[in-house]
Amino acid sequence: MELILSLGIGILVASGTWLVMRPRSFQVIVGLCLLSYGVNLFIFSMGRLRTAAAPILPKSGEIDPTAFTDPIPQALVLTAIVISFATTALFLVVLLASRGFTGTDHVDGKERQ
Amino acid sequence: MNGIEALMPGGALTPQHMMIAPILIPLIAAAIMLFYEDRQRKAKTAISVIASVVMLLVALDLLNRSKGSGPSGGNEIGLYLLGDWPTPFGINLVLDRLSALMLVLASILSIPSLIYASAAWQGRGQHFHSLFMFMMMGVNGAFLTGDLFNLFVFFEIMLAASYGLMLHGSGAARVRSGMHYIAINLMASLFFLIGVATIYGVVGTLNMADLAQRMPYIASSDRPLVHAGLAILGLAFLVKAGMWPLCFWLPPTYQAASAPVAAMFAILTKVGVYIILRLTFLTFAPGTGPSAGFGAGVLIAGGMATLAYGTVGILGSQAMSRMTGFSVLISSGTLLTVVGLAMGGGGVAMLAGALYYMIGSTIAISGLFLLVELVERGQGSVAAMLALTSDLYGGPDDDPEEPEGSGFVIPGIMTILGVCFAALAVLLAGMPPLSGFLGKVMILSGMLQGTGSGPVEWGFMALLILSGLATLVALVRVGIQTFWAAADDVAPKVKATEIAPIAALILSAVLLTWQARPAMRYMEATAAALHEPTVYINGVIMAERTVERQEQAETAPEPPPEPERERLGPPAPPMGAPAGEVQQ
Amino acid sequence: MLIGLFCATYSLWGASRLTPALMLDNASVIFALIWVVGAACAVGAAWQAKYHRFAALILLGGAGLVTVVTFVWFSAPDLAVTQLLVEIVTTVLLLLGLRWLPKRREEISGDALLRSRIRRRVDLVIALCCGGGIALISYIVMTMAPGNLASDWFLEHAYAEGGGTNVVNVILVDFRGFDTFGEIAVLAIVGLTVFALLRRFRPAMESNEMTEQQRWQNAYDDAQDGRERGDTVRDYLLVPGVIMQWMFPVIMVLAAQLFFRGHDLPGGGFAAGVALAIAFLLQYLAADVTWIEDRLRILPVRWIGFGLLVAVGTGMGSWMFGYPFMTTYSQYVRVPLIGDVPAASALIFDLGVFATVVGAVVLMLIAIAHQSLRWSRARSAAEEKEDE
Repeated sequence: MELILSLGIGILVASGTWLVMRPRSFQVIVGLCLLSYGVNLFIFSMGRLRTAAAPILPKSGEIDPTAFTDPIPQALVLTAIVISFATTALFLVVLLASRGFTGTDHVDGKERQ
Repeated sequence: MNGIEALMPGGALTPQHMMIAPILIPLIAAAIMLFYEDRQRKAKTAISVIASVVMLLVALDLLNRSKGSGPSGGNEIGLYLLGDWPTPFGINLVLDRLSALMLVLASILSIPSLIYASAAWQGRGQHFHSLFMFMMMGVNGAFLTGDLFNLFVFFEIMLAASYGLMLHGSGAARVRSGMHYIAINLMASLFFLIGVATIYGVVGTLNMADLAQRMPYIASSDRPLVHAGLAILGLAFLVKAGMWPLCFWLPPTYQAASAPVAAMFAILTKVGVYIILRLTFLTFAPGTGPSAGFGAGVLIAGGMATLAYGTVGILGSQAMSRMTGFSVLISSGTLLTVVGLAMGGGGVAMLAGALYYMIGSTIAISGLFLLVELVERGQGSVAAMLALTSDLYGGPDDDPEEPEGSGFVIPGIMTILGVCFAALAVLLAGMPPLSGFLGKVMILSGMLQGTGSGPVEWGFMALLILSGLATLVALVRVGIQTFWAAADDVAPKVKATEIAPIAALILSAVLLTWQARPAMRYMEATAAALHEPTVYINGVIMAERTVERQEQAETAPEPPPEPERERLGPPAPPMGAPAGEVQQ
Repeated sequence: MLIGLFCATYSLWGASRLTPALMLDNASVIFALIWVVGAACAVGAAWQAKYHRFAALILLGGAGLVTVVTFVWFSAPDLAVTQLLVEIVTTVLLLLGLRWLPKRREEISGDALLRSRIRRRVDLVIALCCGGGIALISYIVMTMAPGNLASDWFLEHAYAEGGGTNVVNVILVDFRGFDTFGEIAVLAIVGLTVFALLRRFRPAMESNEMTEQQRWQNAYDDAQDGRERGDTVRDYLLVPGVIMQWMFPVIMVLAAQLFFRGHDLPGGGFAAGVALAIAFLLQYLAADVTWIEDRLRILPVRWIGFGLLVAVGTGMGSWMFGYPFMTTYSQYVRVPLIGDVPAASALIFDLGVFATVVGAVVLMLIAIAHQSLRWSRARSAAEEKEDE
């Protein structure tokens, strides 16, 4: 499980990084999305993997902390998801504006020959 | 209705809550301004200026308190437990000398920028004032927070608002360099997240003091991972601070940003430097076990490379605004090198000099950005070009420009601008008599006495002096072109509200020079406090919840006074008044 | 665009049907297979992003769905819900944005040049290093013995002192509520920035033409008797449009449900806010902009301001009782209110979160949607000029 997930994170990050370094702005956006998936999973994985141990407590009775997965990384990921969504949206709009001004979707504003 | 309400008698802001005020005041001001129509600019300006003034007063009060009382030698911290949760679990705000100093610096820069913006720039786009206040919230929060992930959040607030401000006024050049700026900072944010997550995964804490406390006890097999996490984290801050291989975005971005925004951006690189300073001295301070001194070499080499790059860049640029962008790099390069050198130990005097230099150079850079736009307005160069493109692309539903005539055109404006320019150039180049000179001298003398005089130190000394010379040469060259040979240029139309902020900034730099002795005393104590992280760590770890204190008060009518003397936060009465007296 | 949205919603339903089955069948083989798909999607997106943007977008959605499935698998329902909602909004934003990008020429000159080929090799190596490094770190940490006392403390205190059984939500609105506080500020800032930027945005001239589909449809109208030009454009996708309008109240109820159960079950202010924003968005997609705005006045900027003030006000409320900022109330008076609505003051804070999220997301979407309004206005002005 751990191996599969870490490989998956690696692939997401690698494809994201490759795309972010491309000159086309659409590629950069897709790359940023992939990277943020990868990073979110990475943060999440820092709480170790547990199946069927969602941190939702019973209303009564003694609470056994070992029966639940670590909730903190989940909370961090939630914040990170929201923030990366917001910044990606912002970047998209800046890209559109830049396209409006320069007439190309090259990040430098001109086609390189 | 604005931030000041919180301070009124009957309002809930007692001294114990003063610490969170630098974060809440700008937020409240920003939120209130959202209820105003965009055309009510006078009201918005009034709200944001009042909020900034209140922020400055609060920051000065906090600075005064952070000096602490006698017995501990002025090395105390104030702590604010958010939600009243105990320390390593909840988020806390920590106030020490360094963060109080940075808060004051940020609010000193904000007021002139806002007043300057009220002359013209605020009308060139929507929501300028709200975004500005949000950025202040982010900056202040980054200075105050004691939690790594919360730092990320404030970092993002600051960055998101800076994207908005960077693009303020629109225009092709601004949008293009804005895009690079955003892309690079998004990557840096991802690095930040990876670093924080790694540290949490290995060490199991997000609290900076808790992390510092656990550092010496980390198993040697886990240590490389922690180092990797901290290195990735550091990368994010070095991007912000503009260290050499990561700084190519900086000059064009600062050049393209509108003047009041660029003036405020001068603080953003210092946020990066501040966090580097804070984290390295907490986790890698001299004498903290096997990790001590980690990354010092990178900081020294990177800092010196930044210094060299800035020096070459400032000599090679033609436009004044670009030169100012490179002088930002010189300033951060100097600071990063000093931080690196100080980590070897014995650098208290040097670090104090660097902090003093930082205040002066940040103020000077901020003033220069404001001035440059006024000067270039008369020359029909970049700024005018940008204004032209924004007119071209402006649509039918754009706002009409503010009617001219608020403020008046000042006679002999070129002379006034020239004098201001000369003062700022002297400050930046580090020539006597202003604070830049004092700062550099203190850095160098502190270095030679404290950390020894190896080849690295001599190299740094040479670079520092060279960079000062280069700044002087470059600025004098462009100054002569502008102010002496300006006969054929039309004198720029400058309003009083645009020249006054620059004068105020210069005045504050002069004040810093004039009051050099008390200022240096403060810096020395700050640097000494940085070298003794245990006070910070213990102060945070042993924090007491309000609930616990109340329970204690109920059981024992006379609370033991001893533990409370350590901290400046909640038990306010002994702190507020005596702090000032001790100082005298 | 609409088709894209349907794809997204369809896959959403598909995902929610799939997940329970996966939860039962707890075999790592299936997990591996899922990730084979995920990896293929990621690599495919990287491959396709240059020429086939739409394909890349769908592949990106695939990778996102795999992420969602992973969250569900490893006991993080909150994350799955949020990620899914955010992904829908992101996809819609990207689809709206695609409209304004230039048409892709099949081969761009200079691609075959040696320099760019070398550059791509270098980039590939860098990318592989990054990916490998991250994979290595995460593998090592995941296989390390967990030694976190912090998480135990959170689990033990969440219900007793935070007053909620969904620990993640309690952390978000209470233990680490200050993070959430900052997070909504980020959303507000981004909303305002997008709005400010697009006020002055001019789309590139070549994008100003009608889309190909609209041209076909107008040609069809011209050819047929008894049809005005533009009839087909107006009637296009009428039925889904009506359905989407009917869905509005349904999503409203869903949002309310997500909001109120947040403290105890997966959900919360953010998820509810995004859901409501999607409801508004569907209205925009279903009918044309002017029709909506005649009937529905949303003032997103006010929503943002209101939300932020509510959040700050809730935080400052605890000063009245002598406690620090954002101390929750339920902690001290342990009297559960009527029914199972957890009446923590954190709920009011969550209301602030909700309002800000709705405001910011709607503001962004409207700002982008208005572009096509302005664009069609510009075009009809140009056509009139031609007619003269």
